[in-house]
Amino acid sequence: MKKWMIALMTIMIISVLSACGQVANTSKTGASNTGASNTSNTGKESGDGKSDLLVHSPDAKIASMSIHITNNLLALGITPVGSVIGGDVKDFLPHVADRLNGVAKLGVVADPDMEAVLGLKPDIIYIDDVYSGNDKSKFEKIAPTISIDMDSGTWRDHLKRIAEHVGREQQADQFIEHYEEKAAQVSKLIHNELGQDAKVMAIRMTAKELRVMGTRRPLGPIMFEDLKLNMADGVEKIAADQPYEVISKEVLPDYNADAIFVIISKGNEAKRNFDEMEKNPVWQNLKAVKNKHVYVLDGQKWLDYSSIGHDMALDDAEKLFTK
Amino acid sequence: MNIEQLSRSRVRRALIASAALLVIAIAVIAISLNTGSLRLTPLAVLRTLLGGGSSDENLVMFEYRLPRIIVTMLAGIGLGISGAILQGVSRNALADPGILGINAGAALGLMLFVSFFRSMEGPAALLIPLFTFMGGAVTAVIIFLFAYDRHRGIIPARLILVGIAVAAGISSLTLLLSLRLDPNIYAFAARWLAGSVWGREWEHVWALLPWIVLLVPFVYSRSRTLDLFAMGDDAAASVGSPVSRDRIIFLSIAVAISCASVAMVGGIGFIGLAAPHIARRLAGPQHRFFLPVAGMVGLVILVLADTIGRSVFQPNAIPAGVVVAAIGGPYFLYLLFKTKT
Amino acid sequence: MMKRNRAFAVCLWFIAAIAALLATIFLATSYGAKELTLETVWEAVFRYDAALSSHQIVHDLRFPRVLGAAFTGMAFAVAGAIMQGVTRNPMADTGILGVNAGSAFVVALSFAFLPGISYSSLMVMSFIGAALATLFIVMLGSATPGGLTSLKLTVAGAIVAAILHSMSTGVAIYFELSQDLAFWYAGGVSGVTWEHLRMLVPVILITIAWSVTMGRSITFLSLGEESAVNLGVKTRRIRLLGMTAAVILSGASVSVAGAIGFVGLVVPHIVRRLIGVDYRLITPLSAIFGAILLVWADFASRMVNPPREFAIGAMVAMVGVPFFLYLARKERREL
Repeated sequence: MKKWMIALMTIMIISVLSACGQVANTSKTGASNTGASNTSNTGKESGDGKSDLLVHSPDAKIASMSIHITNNLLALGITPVGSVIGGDVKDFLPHVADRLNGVAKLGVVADPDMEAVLGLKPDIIYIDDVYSGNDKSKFEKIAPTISIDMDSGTWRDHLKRIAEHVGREQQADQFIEHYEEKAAQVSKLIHNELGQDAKVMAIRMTAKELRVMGTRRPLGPIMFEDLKLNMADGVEKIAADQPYEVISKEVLPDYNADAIFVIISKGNEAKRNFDEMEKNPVWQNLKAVKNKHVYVLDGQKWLDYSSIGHDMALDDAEKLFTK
Repeated sequence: MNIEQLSRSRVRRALIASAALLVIAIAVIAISLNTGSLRLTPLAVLRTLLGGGSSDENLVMFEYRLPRIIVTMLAGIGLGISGAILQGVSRNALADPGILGINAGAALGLMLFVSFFRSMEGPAALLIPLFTFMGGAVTAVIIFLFAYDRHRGIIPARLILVGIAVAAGISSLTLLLSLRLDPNIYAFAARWLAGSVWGREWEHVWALLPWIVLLVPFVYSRSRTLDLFAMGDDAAASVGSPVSRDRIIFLSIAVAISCASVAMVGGIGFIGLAAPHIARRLAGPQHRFFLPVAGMVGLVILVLADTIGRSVFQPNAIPAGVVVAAIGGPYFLYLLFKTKT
Repeated sequence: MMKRNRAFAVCLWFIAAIAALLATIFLATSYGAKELTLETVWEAVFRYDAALSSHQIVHDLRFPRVLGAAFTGMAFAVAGAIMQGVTRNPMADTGILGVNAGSAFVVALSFAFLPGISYSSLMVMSFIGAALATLFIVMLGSATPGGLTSLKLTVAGAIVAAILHSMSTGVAIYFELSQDLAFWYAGGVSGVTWEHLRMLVPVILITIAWSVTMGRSITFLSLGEESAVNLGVKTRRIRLLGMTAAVILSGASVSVAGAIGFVGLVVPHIVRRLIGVDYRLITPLSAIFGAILLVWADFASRMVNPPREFAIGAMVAMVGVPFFLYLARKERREL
């Protein structure tokens, strides 16, 4: 019995160790691979131009494995043949759903439906490096795969990165230029309504929590940079690596905001919570509420950190402030 | 009926049950192989399996469907057997790896991974099983320590109570972490927790296979010891069985098998609970006959549940764990009622 | 002489408990995410001026929340005490037995499928959920040969809770409710309003009073089925009534605070240790202790890292789990 056990344990330990060894190995090769491709890329740029960059025709059949890549493609006037869907809404994001009629649904980003991707027979596959970078080889068995880093940089960088591959850099630049103009215009509109020094905050009501949105994406950059709005007291204190902070309703008055932008999460319970808060005297006594400067945003557009999402968010703001 | 006849009829019953289960298992696996968003005719499936498929068919069959089904099969066997061991060792018909806190521990492992270590270097395909396995194993060790008595070794009844308590505590931590996740990650974690048969790659098959292939035969070879446990500690000790030591060994094995299984398929409960019950009705209480049947029942339940979840509820595939609970839970309660009358 | 000493001790405990509860409520109302002077806080409670924003914070956010925690704590603790009494089972608690999970499940479902449901109908739904889960467990128990031992009852509860949890995950995934349900299971009293309290408080107080009147019979029952019968207790009836009271109490609390476990496990044990076996005394003292425990848990959940808030369920579990472990180790009689 004892010998049996010892033999068995040894085998198990060896198998575990070898599995770990494999993990370490693959990760190492993975790292060295990316390192190699990086250096070759930079070498290329100084040397023979961008010949190695995978560029394809805008008409190619694209399968997009990230909702944000899908939205950036739409901004470039390209409709993929298939796309993953939002994990939260279990569908294409509502604000772009009408542009994705007839596009195949490929599961959610963390759990893509590989058979559906294969069935589409795409010419090219786009993946988000953050979510699916590790699975690149799986996608490459189906079609050439482009991995986009959707984490570093702003949505402008993401848009340009994608534009390089589809050969629509010009459209990307135009889109951004158009966006900046619109942002300046909407910014003026808002400042006219609220006053030059008005301080604003954005809150999000979920099923159980009240969140104050900070300076980080998705909401921070568009609010406080693109639209040049002033932060309410305390918004700047929210940790820079957190998109939001959960707060107690007790401290809402401390923010002393002149205007409040509200996003209500999907679902009946969040809506109900907000209705309940609206009835509360503390809420009714807020400066912004008394002056009727509470604006309920079309949440999906604002929370979608992509070129098209931001563009539509500006339209939403324009609508709210033109009466 | 003398003893020899009795044991012969037992053997026959067990054989019939195993044969019937084998047929059912093959049928279920065949159906499962034909399930997927890409339509393949049964004929094409057969042709591909025999090596004559097109490249696309090969990809679908050997890269997507087969590894997943093998993982499901192995995990089903593992959960069934480990439940059987636990029930035997603890002499409690309600013992189950899930109730013992292993699922809760594995879930916390997953939550820790997606909350804090998601940026860690290395392939997620193996890191997630590593974290969940560790979570389950650490929880089991904690529970063992609490249930350990200096004089009497691990006390079975206390083991279960402690398991429930620790599981409750760990679940509340998991819940706390899960509330802070962003919706995309949460959707993934929720599906994992509900038992969505997460492991779908050959790597997962290779990671799970040794546990089943090595430990299950070992347990089977010691099935007489398990029979002795059923007699009670004192009786078992009187025939010379080192009860405390054997109990720890068997418990460790049950934990190892179920941790490995749960790490690959996600938080699936009830199989470890229901499979041994069904098996006992089919093959009688002797572990020699009843262990393999419990494994087969586990396999059939899990593969069936996964297939139902993927095919019936399109497009929002329901995790296998939910299907198991929805069918297995009430059936299990029914079983308990029937035993009385 | 002994008897008088005993009565004196009990009296002392009650006075101490009530004093502690008042002190706890005082403390929890005085401090919060927003720093206010003590004077402001108590003016807001006793001489409320609707024009002052600081008064509103206390009157409409903090005070209802503290009261909500106090009353749900009472209800959970009394429900646990009754359950332990009528089942003669030290492990009985509406959280562990899956009763809370049952009502949370039904409440979550009604949010999903009956949008705009009023609070009173929500409470009814919550009762239904609690009752179904209890029925389940009782049936499971009566079907098990030899009746329900602690162990069997606990395990049966865990199974029922697991089934319910799994089902609700399935419903959530299929109907795309995502994180909403998780929030509900985590529990919390931050959303309690005066409107809730107006419904909740009478139900809880009346049910607790009713439970105290059953105290004598429950005491006999808890001491042993046979002697109870000999003393003329209609055991079946008392069991049924006791369970009903527990269902009402836990259902009412879950409908505002979500599924918070362990209160009903921990409190009655402590109380029994302090004042003995008489349920006429255990029930009211459990109520007070339960209120203290939950107010503290809520206070901790918002003071650990203000202005952020933690889940109250996790706070209670931090006390409850070690206690449960201690009980599990101590339970030698049947092991």
